[in-house]
Amino acid sequence: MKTYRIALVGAPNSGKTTLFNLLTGARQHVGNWPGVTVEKKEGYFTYKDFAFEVVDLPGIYSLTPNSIEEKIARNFIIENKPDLIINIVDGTTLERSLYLTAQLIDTHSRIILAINMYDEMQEKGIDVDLKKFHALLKFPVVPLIAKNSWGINELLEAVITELEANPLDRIHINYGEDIEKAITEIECELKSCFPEITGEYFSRWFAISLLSNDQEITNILSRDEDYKKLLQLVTEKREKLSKIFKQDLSEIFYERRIGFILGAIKECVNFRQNIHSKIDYTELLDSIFLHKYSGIPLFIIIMWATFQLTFKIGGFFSDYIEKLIIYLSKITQLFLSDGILKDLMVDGIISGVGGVLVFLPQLTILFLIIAFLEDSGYMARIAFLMDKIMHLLKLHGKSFISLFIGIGCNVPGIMAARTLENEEDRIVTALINPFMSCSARLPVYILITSMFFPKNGGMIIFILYITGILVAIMSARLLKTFFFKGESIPFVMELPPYRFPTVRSLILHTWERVSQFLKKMGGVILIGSVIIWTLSYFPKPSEYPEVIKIMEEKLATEKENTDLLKTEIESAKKSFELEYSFIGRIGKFLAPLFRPLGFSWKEGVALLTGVVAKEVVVSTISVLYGTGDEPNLLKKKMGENGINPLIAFGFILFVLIYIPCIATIGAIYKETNSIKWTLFSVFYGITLAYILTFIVVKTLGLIIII
Amino acid sequence: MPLKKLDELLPEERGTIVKLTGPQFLRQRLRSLGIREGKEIIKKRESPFGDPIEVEVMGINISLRKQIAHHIFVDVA
Repeated sequence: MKTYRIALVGAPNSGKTTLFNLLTGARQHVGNWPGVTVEKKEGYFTYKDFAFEVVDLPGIYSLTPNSIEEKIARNFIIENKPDLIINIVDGTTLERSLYLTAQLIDTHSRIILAINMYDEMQEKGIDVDLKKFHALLKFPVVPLIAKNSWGINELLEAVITELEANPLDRIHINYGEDIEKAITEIECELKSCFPEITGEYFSRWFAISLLSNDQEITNILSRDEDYKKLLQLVTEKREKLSKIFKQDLSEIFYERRIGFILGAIKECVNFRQNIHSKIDYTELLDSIFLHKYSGIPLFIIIMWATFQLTFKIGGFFSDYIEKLIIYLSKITQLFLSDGILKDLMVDGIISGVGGVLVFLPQLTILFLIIAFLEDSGYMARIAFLMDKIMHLLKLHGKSFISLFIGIGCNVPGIMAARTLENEEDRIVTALINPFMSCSARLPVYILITSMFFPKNGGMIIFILYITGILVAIMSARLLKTFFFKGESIPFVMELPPYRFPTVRSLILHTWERVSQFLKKMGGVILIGSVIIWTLSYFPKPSEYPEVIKIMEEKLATEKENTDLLKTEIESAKKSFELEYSFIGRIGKFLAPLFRPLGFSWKEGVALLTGVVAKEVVVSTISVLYGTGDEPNLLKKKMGENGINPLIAFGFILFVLIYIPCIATIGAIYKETNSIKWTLFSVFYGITLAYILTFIVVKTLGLIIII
Repeated sequence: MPLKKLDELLPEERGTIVKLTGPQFLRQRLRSLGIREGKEIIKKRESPFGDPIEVEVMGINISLRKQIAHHIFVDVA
């Protein structure tokens, strides 16, 4: 059975993804287009005796390669030559959508025009004469209501008919005698000299692209000497024609395509007048949600609700998962005898897996809400409301959500960045997200401030959150100025009509993202946890220092109060084992580096283990100081070790800014799709944390002395 | 012909797009979204913070920054 390759092409919000899900069901695969962060969705299905592979191309309004999405879609069509293109259009915006169709016609592909939202279209009083439309375009025109699966069989029948139709009866958009002559000449040259680049069908499209001075194509061709003659011919033709029309040729192509569209609309579409129009819900909702005074408060309420639902309800389930993990490790302990294997299973693997699973409830809820916000159309309104503020960061309004979610947890925050249209914005948003102080850092702040700032701990924590936001703003501007100065896509976006999302699509979207998290990041988090565990477990000391030995001897002779002594010995041993392990040695080795900041090797080790998850810093500190759950004792011992309030503040500042935790690193890697940016994030964080902490500790120190 | 730039329109004011200026990629982007010469355009509202603005053209709502709207000439007669 031959597998036919179908490409889905259409504008954002045209129902393209709904159709894709309808066709492929669960048989789909989500990845990335090579080298970029744009999602690539592929799927499979069979119909009658045919097998199909479907590629969901990024949502685009035109094939003119200005954005990454447009480039991907165009290159896919030209390079991979799909057997058929299903061009899905929103029937209520037919005139606008047909521009993309007109550009597709130039590629001479086999096309099916699927007019989606056929019901809404008729409600709006727009009638299409499908027969006439088909007669004019020559390829099948199929009405569709993707959200109700209406018209899907007719679409599939049309796919088969079109694939079997041979020879192809194709139409041209007539660009006028002069231009057509030039196109034919260039086509002849292409066909005779370079059949390898144009393939069977694309010579006309190539000729048109060359004449409209398409920089990408011209650049590719100008690298090779062989094409010199061709390019000369093109330049000559283009200059001659530009003189005739006194205009850039791409303008002429545009005008002729528009002419073709207007002709088709006039011929085949009837706009019924005076239909008793129903209430325009979009208009009504926008007058509330985008209102000068109610817009922002409503937005804040929605954000607050998102945050609460995610972290309160998600946290509720996370607690249960945590309990389950503890239960699981207890059972494992029963079945395994003491030793490395048991410790690896319990402290390494089970707690590593647990570290992945605790995210699940929060992520599921968050992704569900995001899917709802996106599918309903509110997400675009968020961009509209917040654009001015986010423009300060040289970012787009939608980045706000990602950063806001980051306050709860950076991982879902970074994953929320994929709702951004622009690749550069996506990367910058992901990179600055770790500076949003996540909830895992709070226990560290609370521990330190409760010891060193008992009176104004709240103020100190507030300062930390604000510092994080300021660092994020500064970093965004820095990144945008030095690394992403590419001409950014102008902020023009559609505010699609509000639509009530279908349960099916919500579930699909949520499942897709959750499963991606498990597949792509689960491994990274697990491996990272095991590595850190190994480093803090090995090597084991063969004997313990004198102090512990004396304590043990005392225990042997002592009759009363043995419990207290036992715990003391236990914590002293733990503390020594950690000191003796690789991570303890690394911490001691790095101690001279931490000294200028006032940290001892113990704080250094705590920071190292904090890479697993920032809240681990708390437990490491108490293990190393051997104080257990006694903050007063810990404060005393830290004080003896040279940690004064100023240095303590430096320490939590460092915790705020330095390396993101392993899960966040995994998320950054997944979303930026680049090792380079992931490493950048790690080293940028460390360097910045070091510099800022140094400055704060030294200058504040001076001020205090004066 | 009373020409105005789109960013100068008052809320609810409407007119016909007569000309797009600015770099080619911007004109192409605007046209692909439906902001095309000859079409009627209505300025619907400004964002609560004053920028961007929302316009309607061919029944489609589009949001754009004022700085971009500045490139769109509208005949408000």
